[in-house]
Amino acid sequence: MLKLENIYKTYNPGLINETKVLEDFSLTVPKGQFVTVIGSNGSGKTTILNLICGTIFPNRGKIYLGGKDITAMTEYRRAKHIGRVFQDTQKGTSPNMTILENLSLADNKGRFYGLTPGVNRKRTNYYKELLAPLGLGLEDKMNVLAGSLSGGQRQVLAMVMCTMADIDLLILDEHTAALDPKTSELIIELTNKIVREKGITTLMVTHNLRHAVSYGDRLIMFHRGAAEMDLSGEARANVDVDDLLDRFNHISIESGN
Amino acid sequence: MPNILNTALNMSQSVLEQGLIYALLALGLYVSYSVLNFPDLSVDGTFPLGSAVTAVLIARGVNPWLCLPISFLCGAAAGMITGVIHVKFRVTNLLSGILMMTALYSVNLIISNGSSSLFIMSPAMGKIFTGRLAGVFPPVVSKLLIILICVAAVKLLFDLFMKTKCGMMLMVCGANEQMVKSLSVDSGKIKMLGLALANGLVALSGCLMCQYKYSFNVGDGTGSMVIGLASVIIGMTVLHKVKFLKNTTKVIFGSVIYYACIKIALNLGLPPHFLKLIIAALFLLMLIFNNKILKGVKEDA
Repeated sequence: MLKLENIYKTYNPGLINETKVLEDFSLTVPKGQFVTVIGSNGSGKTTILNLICGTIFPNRGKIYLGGKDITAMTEYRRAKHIGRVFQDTQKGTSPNMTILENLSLADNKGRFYGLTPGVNRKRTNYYKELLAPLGLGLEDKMNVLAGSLSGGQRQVLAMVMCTMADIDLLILDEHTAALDPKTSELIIELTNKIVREKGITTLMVTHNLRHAVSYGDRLIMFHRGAAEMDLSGEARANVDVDDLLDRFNHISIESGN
Repeated sequence: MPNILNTALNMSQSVLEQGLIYALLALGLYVSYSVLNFPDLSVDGTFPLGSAVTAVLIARGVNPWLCLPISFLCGAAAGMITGVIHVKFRVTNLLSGILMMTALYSVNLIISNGSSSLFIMSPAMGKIFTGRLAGVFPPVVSKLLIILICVAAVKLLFDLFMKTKCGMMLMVCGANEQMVKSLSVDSGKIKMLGLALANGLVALSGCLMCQYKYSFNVGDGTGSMVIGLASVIIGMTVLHKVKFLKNTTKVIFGSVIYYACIKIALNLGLPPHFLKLIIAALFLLMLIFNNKILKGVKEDA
């Protein structure tokens, strides 16, 4: 379970460009829930993701993951429990290493990276089994450098690497935004498959409204650092893209855009 | 005629010897610049650090072979401090190296008790080139063979290390720091470790050079970074199409090629004080050449 309690976040406090992004913001995501998050630019989505991942820290408030207070925990320590896939397809894999090497390193997450061999060939078949159902043929490219894969292939590899170890929370940060429409559909389908199979608590930020209504169990629309809309259950099931667009337009008129 | 041949042979032998010693320096630069993506200038201080430590220890009768690991550790400690300055105090990578290089200039003089050069000429002071191992080989090639053994051993150990989880993490850190964090590893520690390894190798090169030249000179380090980096770039550029060679092998070849170029330039009649100018000019040429080749590769693709 993920819990954000009374979070305050201000950028450049006391300066002329001071920006209050979050004020007394709270959010609870029960274990196993798949939340889709939408919102215009500057609505605070990315700030919230960064706070959860430990890239930035709140001015006030507490963050709990699985009942543990992680508010002051550094990014790399949190990463043991949190997987994150970025919009930038370069960020999830190491381009100078093969698929096999990338997977081997991810396989060791949470353990010590010492002087034992980096690649365990005995696990190769296991990795191939992970890749084969994804239908991209990555399982036949184990010795190809990740840097020579396409953006979509790299993103799939990043997804697999992220969810290989047992994690408590998966953060998807507009992870299909940099891909062409066809690949984007493929990745979102794979995402849904992996998330559902493993039952991982997931926060997915997206600008694709259709993805936001078609996937997940709960939909949150952010506006000015608050949840303008928070739908689950039946209300969530009945919402469609037009409803979301209406609401977006409404907000835009309110804020004078 | 045999005279010219003799000179040429002698010259190529000394090129090989010194080129191979500098190959360790180049390997160090390969770690910081190529693997870790960190332009580390502290090497200009850690190369003479290895020399200074070696000269002082040998003068005190310490086993010359023991000087190798000790120099490595001294260089590693210096590199570690560069890392701490960069990671913990958030000083930019370039400045951290410059700070360390400047500090090391004095540290090296402190080690040598204030003298800007030390000599270990006396036969009583053992060098790895005059020890028991040297007696095994024919005297003409014994130096070269001993250097070759050292460099080969270091290269093999280094190659092994780069295949471990820890070594692979260094590679990841240089290419994608975010992934290191994502794997729940402190990327700051990886950088410190990489810098320690890089500067350890550089100091090791300094140690060998001191024993080879029988002297330490506080000014020896100036240009180490350029020499090392030029060797890395030459190795990777000239041999970039040779797929079956490891990068470390290419770097070692690069070092020998680079040193040969310097030697040839000097033998064309330029006086020795032109050395650093030649070093810089050759490096510039290599960078231009490198950019052309890289551009060509991109246009091919």
